[in-house]
Amino acid sequence: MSSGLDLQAARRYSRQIALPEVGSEGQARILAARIALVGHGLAIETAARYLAGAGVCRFRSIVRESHVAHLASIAAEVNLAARTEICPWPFDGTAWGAALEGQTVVLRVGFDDDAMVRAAVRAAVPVVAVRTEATSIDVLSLRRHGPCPHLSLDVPAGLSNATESDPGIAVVAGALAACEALDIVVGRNGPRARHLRLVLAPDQEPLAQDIPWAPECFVCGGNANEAVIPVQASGG
Amino acid sequence: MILEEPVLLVGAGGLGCGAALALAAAGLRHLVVVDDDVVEESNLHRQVLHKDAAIGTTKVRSLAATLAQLYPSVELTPIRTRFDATSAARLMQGCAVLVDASDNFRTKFLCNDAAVLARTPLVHAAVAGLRGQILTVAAGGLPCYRCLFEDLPAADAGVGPPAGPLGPVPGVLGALQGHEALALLRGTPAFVGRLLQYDAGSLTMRSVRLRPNPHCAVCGTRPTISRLDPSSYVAPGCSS
Repeated sequence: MSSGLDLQAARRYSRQIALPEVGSEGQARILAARIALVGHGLAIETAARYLAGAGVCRFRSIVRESHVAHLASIAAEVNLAARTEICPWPFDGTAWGAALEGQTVVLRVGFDDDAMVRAAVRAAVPVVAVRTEATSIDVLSLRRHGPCPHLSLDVPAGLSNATESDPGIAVVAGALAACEALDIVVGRNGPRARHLRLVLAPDQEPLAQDIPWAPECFVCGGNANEAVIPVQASGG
Repeated sequence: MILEEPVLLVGAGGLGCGAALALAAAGLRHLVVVDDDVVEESNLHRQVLHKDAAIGTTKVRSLAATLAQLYPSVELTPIRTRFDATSAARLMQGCAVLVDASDNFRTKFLCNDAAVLARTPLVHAAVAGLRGQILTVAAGGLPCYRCLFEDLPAADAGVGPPAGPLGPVPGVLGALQGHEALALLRGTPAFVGRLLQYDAGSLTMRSVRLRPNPHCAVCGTRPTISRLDPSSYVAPGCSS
């Protein structure tokens, strides 16, 4: 596969291209990726900043309130080629499907939206979700659908966690989410469901584990053969 | 919550940008940033506080300008100089925490020794490729960075090699440094004597508890380093 990188891109992203895990093809995938950013706040702003810096140029911001102009300006500050389109908050599963169509990855704050996860499964779009609390960060990477984060992570359904209690933790969470989104875009790892939990307190071991299939998964009922999300080569 | 005590940030690159973002966002009042480098185009994929228009300008000025725009309440003192054995004590004067966001082993060992000798807490981090680590050294060490790594490697090729890192990886470690520096000021640090390692490729973190090394040259039972000697921070085989 020819990467098709122009000289300016080859120069600007030379350090990433030199990484064996990325290379020219991986950088071309980053440049072609479309990333949906769901929610607002410092974590999602930080993720946008790092994704734009790494070369992502096309964002879709899906927010309940009118924070879109702010997010768009953050991405454009870091990457002059970055463009952010505005998408109002979808009101049902069908609208979520339309909002996520054509996206390479969905990155969102919070674990509380079944309709969004279902729509991402149907649209074959991997999901990276982050949640921050007073001293902890959870990153959930669903490269194929389910299991339902409410069930497997014991997160109460309907709990809204779009606001971060500690700005420093939100910055860490945003950068972590950007790393995972880029790893998906580059396509190094196959389908997987992964959970990372970091507690910023003494003697707290981080938790990093594959998420097992749950028979009670709200999408597939535990059928792992259903609706596997492929790792997409590019966002089109 | 506004934190009044100044933090010294050594390095305005990938780690430094992440640390500065977290420090400023969380309410630090006064940040001193030291770096002698200028912004290059190949920095921009990871050093997200430097803009295209800043290429060719000093990193400390560029970082100060962006941070002033994002967080006007932060008093930032940019110092364009090299953090070395002759300037370290002067630069650290009055700072409550030292954040090592440098990209080479010489400066990392120097930051460790300077912090231990001055009894100033240190937050160390390093990145390479898709991986990184963070360690907090308490005032006076026990344990410190040198307890684990002992001395400069034979050839100081730099902690950040020509390849990589993946853009947000130094952002993760730098932001953790910023958060940890503020946690030190609040008295609630998470990584004192504990090395946290992160691998973005496998979405994995693990931590290792360190013990003080009785043979450590700076905080051991019979320390051989009692002052900062410039000749001690030259990798074997290097002329400078």
